Amino acid sequence: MSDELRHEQQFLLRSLRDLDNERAAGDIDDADYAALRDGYIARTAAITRELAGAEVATSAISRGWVRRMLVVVCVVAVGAGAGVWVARQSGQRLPGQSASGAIEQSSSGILASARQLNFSDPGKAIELYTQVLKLEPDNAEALTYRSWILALTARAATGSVKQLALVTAVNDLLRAQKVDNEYPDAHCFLGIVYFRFLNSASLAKPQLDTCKAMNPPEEVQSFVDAIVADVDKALAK
Amino acid sequence: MLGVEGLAGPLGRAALLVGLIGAFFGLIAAVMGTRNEDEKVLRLVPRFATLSCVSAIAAFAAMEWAMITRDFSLAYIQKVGSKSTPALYNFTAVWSALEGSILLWLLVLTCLTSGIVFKYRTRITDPMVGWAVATMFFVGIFFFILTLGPANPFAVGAPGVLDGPGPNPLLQNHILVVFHPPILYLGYVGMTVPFAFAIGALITGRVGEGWLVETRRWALFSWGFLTLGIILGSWWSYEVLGWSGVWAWDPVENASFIPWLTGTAYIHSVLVQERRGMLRVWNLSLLVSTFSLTILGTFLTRSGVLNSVHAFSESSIGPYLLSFFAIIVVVSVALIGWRGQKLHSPGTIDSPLSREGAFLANNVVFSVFAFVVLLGTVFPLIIEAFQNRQLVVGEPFFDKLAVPAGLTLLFLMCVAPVLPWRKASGELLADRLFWPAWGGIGALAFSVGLGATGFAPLLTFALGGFAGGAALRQLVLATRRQGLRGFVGRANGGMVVHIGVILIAVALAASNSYTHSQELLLKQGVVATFDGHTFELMGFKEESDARSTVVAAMVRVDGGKTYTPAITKYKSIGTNIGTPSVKSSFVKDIYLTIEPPVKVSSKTAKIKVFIKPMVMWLWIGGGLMGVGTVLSAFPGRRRKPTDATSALVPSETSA
Repeated sequence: MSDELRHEQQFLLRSLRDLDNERAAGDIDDADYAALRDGYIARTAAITRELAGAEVATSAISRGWVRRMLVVVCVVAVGAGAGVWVARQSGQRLPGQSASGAIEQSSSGILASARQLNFSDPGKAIELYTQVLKLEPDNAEALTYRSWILALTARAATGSVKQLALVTAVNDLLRAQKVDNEYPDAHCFLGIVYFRFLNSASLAKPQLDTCKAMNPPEEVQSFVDAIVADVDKALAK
Repeated sequence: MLGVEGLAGPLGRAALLVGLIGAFFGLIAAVMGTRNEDEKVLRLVPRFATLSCVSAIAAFAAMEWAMITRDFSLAYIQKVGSKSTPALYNFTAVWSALEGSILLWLLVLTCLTSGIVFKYRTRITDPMVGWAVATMFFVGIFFFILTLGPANPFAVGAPGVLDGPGPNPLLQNHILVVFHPPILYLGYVGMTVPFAFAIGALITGRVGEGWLVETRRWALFSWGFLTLGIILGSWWSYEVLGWSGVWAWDPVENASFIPWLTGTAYIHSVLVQERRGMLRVWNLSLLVSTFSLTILGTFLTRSGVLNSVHAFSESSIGPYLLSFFAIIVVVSVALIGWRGQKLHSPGTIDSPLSREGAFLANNVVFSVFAFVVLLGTVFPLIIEAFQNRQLVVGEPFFDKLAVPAGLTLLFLMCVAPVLPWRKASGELLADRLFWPAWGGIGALAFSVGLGATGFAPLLTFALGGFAGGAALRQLVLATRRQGLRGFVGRANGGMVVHIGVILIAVALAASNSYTHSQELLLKQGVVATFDGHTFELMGFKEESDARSTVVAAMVRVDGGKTYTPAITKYKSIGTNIGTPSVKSSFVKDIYLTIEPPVKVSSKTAKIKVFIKPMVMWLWIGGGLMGVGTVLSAFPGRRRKPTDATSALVPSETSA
């Protein structure tokens, strides 16, 4: 303890010398110089008395504890406040998205995220396709897949809601074909919607034939063949 | 029998093993020699440091050799090597994935350890040096264990592999991949040196100001490289990623930014300790935080726990890094607690309106900023670990934090350089801030005259002018007294760094607030107009080689030079990577990207155009920060730490 007091005493004596230099350099004006000098001298005298065996001023100790407690309270408050703020600002992470920040995604980036949600989270996927269509109103893939998911989810609905959803899906699929007539998915999905959801084999037939003619991917080939066969059967009746 | 091409693996593994042995015996020699005050044993330390350094160099050379000769017997080469990767990117592919980047870390660390041992070879018997060197060996052992265990770059791969996919496409289309990672690593790893001396000071109990003097230049050196690495990373992001931004608060960016924030706080607050004997615990805590955050950042980015453009594949390195992080934090906190009495600061702040008061405010802002960025980065990870929910803390959160923090720091940069130690009077402040304040008013009037709007950007320009004025005032006063030497030394070099920071802040405010963008469907022969500029599609350029096919649209801008935004399809990976093309000037950048799908036959191209003001000043500001750091590191004819801020330098006083 006395080592620390001696160290502090030396520091204060050095501070008094520094203070004179600072005043000479014009950094401290006369009034501040006098106030600081008096303060350092008083502290030096108190330490000197303490070193000589006098009692430590208890008020100084209690002030130190109050200050420490205040610092702790402030740190805890900042920490808790920051935690609540971060929690409130967080949101659902999408496939392909990083855990913090975000590079402003292009339409192809949003499409890639949407594709991964087609079946796991259709509502979110529709939201993302709509986001793409805001950036690119003529994006054939977004038009097609938003319509397809809408039609799939409409099956569970009834009455006018179902009707409205299916009409919207058909219109958007037709628009997708208008934008890019060589995009097979728009033809395939429209054929399925006509046949399975609107019970119209005659409207479905040309769409599914176009779809088949465009060589759909191998993994859906058998599905397309099966539905074309069903359509042909229905038309034969 | 092994062919020459199969030798890199065994040689590399052997070198790493020898290096580990060297570092282990180096640690033993440093600890035993220091504890027993045995000079004979301590004299062995340089030999072990050299052995582990030479071994790491040999291992790195073996890895480069394996990469250059496409030695597909190694799993790492199978992962990132390819016969079709051009020579330059093949060379940099060594640090393009987890194992190689840890090897690069090890190389820098062992070289630094050797450098420290060489520098202090005549003082190796000093216990503080001994414990610092032991700490560096300890860190080195950890990284040797990583390279021999979970991140072994010399692991044998599956037989019969004759080619690989090459490095991540984003790491093979810009020259900055040569500079950005090694420079960033110099910054990260360099922080080991001041950390090691801090540990040495704590163990020996010499926690006064002496250890700061030993490490001041090393801390500055590391901070400078970290700064440069971050700036180069932003430039690389701008030139490569095609979204026209420089900073996205991606976890990897944050992992480098958080230690930079604590490091910046340290190089400011260390001045207060040198001058006023205050903030001892705080400075030690900042150093420990900075070093441990580099390890935590490595965990975040290299363990695959976070999904990011930088995150490497899943690996078993995570638990090792987390355990090491925990050891560092626990040991450091325990040592600080142990030395609690000795760390008591004799000085107090006489007035908040003083240089030490400004540094304290600066430290509070930097620390809160670092803490909240850290929280935002790890929060999704914590929630995923405990609740299995995948969350994101988006860019708006970080922006909401960065704007007030940045403005507060700019304000402090206006006032702090003119403040004296202890206490400032109103008249003194009014006198010293007069011209800088006019700088702020001038900057505000100039930007309003140019049509700038918005509270935050206008406040940034005004504070930028004010802070620039304060920094220039200091430099003018110094150069008047000392001529060109007035740019040299910590205070004056620091002002050059401040000017660089101000340029970056102003450029960021301008480019973030006033960027215009538009997607243009360009048809060959038809001129389109956007934001006062003309764009004409002149045709397409298609190039193909074994590695990739590049389709570039040739776009003439403002009837002048033709720019070529491109899309590269990497054949072995099947990934399309867009490459922007930028027309740069001091006033604004015209940034072009081509949007997929590209149909060359249709003679049309969808081009996204960004008009971005003042981006070039970001890179100029970054360069000035680098220059200022070098100037700060020069000793010059500097004042003693205890001199008054306005005191004359020694040569003048003697004259």
